[in-house]
Amino acid sequence: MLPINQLLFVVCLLVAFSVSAQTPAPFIPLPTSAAQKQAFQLQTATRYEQDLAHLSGPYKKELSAIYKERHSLLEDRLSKDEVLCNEETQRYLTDLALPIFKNNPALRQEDVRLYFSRSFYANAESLGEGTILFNIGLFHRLQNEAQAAFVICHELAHYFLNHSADNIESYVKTVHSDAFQKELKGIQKSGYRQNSQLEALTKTLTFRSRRHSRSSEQAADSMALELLKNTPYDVAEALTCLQLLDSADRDKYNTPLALEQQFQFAAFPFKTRWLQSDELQFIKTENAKIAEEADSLKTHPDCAKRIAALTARVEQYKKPDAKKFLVSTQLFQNLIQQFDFEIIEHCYQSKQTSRALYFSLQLLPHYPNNAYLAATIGQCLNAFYTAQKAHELGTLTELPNAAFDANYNSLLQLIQNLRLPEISALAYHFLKERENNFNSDERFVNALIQSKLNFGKPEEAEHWKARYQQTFSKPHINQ
Amino acid sequence: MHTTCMKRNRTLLLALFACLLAQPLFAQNALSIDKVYSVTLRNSGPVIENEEIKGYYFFYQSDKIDKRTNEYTLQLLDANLNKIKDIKFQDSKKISLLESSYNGTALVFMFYDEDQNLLDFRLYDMSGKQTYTYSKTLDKRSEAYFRNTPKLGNEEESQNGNVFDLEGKGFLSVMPLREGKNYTYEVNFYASDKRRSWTYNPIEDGKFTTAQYLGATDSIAVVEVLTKEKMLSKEMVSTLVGINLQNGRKAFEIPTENKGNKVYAMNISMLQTSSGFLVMGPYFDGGDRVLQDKSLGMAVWQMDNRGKILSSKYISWAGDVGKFLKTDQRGRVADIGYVYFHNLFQTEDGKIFAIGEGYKKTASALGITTTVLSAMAGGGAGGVSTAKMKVTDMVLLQLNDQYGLENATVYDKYNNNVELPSGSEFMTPHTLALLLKTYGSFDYSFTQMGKHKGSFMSGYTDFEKGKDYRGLTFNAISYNDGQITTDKINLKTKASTLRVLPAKPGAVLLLEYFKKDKRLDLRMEKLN
Repeated sequence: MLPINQLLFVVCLLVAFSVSAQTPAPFIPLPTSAAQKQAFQLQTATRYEQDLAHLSGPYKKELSAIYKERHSLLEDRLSKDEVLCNEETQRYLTDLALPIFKNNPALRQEDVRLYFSRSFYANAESLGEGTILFNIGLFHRLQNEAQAAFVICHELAHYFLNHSADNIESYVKTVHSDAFQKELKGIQKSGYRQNSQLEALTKTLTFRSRRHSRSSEQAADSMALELLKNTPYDVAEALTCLQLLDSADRDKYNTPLALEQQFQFAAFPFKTRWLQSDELQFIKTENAKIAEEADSLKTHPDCAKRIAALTARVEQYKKPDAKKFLVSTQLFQNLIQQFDFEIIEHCYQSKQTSRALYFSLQLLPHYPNNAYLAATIGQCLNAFYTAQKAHELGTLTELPNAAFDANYNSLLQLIQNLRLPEISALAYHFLKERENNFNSDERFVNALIQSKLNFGKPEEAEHWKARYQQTFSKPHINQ
Repeated sequence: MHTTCMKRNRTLLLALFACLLAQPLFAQNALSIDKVYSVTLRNSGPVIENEEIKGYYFFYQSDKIDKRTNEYTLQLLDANLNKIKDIKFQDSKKISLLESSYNGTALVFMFYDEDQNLLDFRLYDMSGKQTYTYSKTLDKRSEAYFRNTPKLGNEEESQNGNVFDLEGKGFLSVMPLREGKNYTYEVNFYASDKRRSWTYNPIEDGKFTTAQYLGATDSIAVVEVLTKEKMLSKEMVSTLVGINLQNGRKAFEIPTENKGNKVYAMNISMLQTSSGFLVMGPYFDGGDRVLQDKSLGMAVWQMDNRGKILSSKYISWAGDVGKFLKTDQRGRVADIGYVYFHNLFQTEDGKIFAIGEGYKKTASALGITTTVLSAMAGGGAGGVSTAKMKVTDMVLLQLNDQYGLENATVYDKYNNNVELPSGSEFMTPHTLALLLKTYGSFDYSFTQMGKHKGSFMSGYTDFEKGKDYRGLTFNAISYNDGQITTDKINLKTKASTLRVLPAKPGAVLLLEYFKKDKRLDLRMEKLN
């Protein structure tokens, strides 16, 4: 029998957003299946031992060290619940990949562990030892299952074409080759211009490695299409998927955060200075050589080039009865929306609090009556208050950076400019404005009580504590 | 599938090397690149504009080119520690980077070239392109001064010592000089919008003169000049010199004596409503010797650009401060002793603040024992004074926009004992304060101003010996929205060394060096 929270989740997944996108059912974080987590751990450990046992030759020690590091990193991600070990999503992912394995019998399904990752980055990766992680940050941007199938095919191609292992071996062999070592010793003895010689040597190595990676990407695209064409999925979706990837550096909800409106309260007006930044900024030099070099060093060829490389064959492989959905349109849509919220939850739980606040503020205008979003925004501000008081704010937020999206940077600037009493005031007013709407949401009331304590309103906090005790059967107030 | 990489730049470990190597290195026996590659951090510091931290520079020796030449990398970080520019160049192996400043449109880096004995002021525009270089050959006294400058570690790190920004116009440098037996100074202006410079040389004979830059209005720069007839003379004349920023000519020169009081000017501040400025500093009785005798309190002069004193206000220890704190007739505050002002400044709302630190003389057991033992052995005095100094609490004076004393507050901290060299027991209070400053014995760290001087934070360290915490702390006295608040950060760390540096308004930068890992971590902490 399924535990109650898992049952709830199944029900939610099936009916969650079917009524209206504007009124989703209350968000319930995806529960982690302990059994599945244990199985994943066991399978990856077994594979790690097998890989080590198969190593031989002069570079066994060096290769072992890399494999060990790779395995440790994966274990770390598992321990932090980044790997989504959930029975329902796992079942869906298996069903999604089933037509690929079924119609490409040369692929050994038992070698592969295909899982969702809770990461918000629009990415998927093949770790090289059979683990394929499909980030929910990528999945929730997709439009159909055929696009998801192309992503899976691409990562399977990396795995079955042995790209990761080849890269590792090639790198180890290069840096330990007689020629490379001789060159390195020559530089060491030279006395002068050592670092510039090393930089040149490293650049050659990096160019070679990246060039290899780029050709690997093209090979993976090519094989992915061959795998996909054997399935009922629509191959044309490979191209739309690549188009989506081209804009993956931008946020899914690419609309201004409008912080001035979201944090505007009659009793506590928004201050424009919260968004001001007059820090030292250099104009980026448009140096043609640098730009050209950067392009040469990119691992992935431009999506336009990738699309061009596949277009002719897509036309050739097109089938009139090809499908965009094979498993379930409804389940796909439900997962997309579930993942919008799941990303926030994972960011909050893994202390990427500024990200959690950012994604919540992006979603709030779409779901203004969502208690989870309001509660999370309150919780994030409460967490900032506590961390700032202990001079640990840096553990919960990133600092503004030109590499970030302008929307995200404006939020980071706000966090940097807010003084301690202002953080508590924002949380207090934001939650107070909604306290009558969401007073049946336990998480919201919890955040509300904390905000009142932080803002110096102990009487109001006591009132809500009493209401909390009456309303919720198993109260667990954090305070 | 698609690579996205957005990580914060917080650790500077062989920074250049880390940028180049995306792949891990794993050679145990074979030679690896990281064993051959080496960069040396020569210097680092803040980029300052109008007393506000705008970013940081890190000056690396990134390669050896030949016997005499090195390759250098000047790495610039913004106030959020993001790397914004690497400027590479080749130069003599004997150059050092002394200071940097930013004037809103250009950056200047002041280099000292030991081989050629010259100062190079290299200006960069906001695309990182070098625009102008101004060189200045040094005389003997300046040479000695600048050779020692990189080793001076106790200067206030939120303020420059030699290069000062003039918004949009250029930079000003105030340098000590020696002409034969005369000690004098020179003021140089270097324009940032076009190649233009001027030099101001005072005309004085047979004197020992030093100059301190106080600040600038939109048309004049003001320096305080202290002059003695002889090197060891205790008589010192203090004057304010205004220099026209357009042509480098003297606009005024006036003695800092008014209404029978001598003022030791420490700072000037722009007035919010007129083109004039305020001069602030401790004052002394007209018959006293500035920098030798005890101060009577704090003076505020309102002046115009022609050097005319429009009004003056004197806040006395005994009369005015005594209303808030218990003081005696000798100008000592109860339990604190004498107060040495570290900084005086005016905020956007017109209020004036003076941050000071208490010190007092007490008997030294070590000094007395040494003296007694020396005497018993038939010798002279020992090397340790029979008196020692106790560095006591912090003091903040707050004046309203009419320059009347509004408040005086003492901030408790644990006292430090400082043993003095023999003979110090006969020194005057102010000379002892200067000695403590030279030794780096005060706990005061720096004052940093907020955006447009709307706020400030004065920081000091303390070594707590409490029940809950024993160790170093950084303490902040902040002024925001008309409110004074305090904050404390515990500085216990596993790092080999830790420095607290000024940072963007409302924050401090903790720089931790882990010797074993050869790792330098930068951590920004917001203050409450």
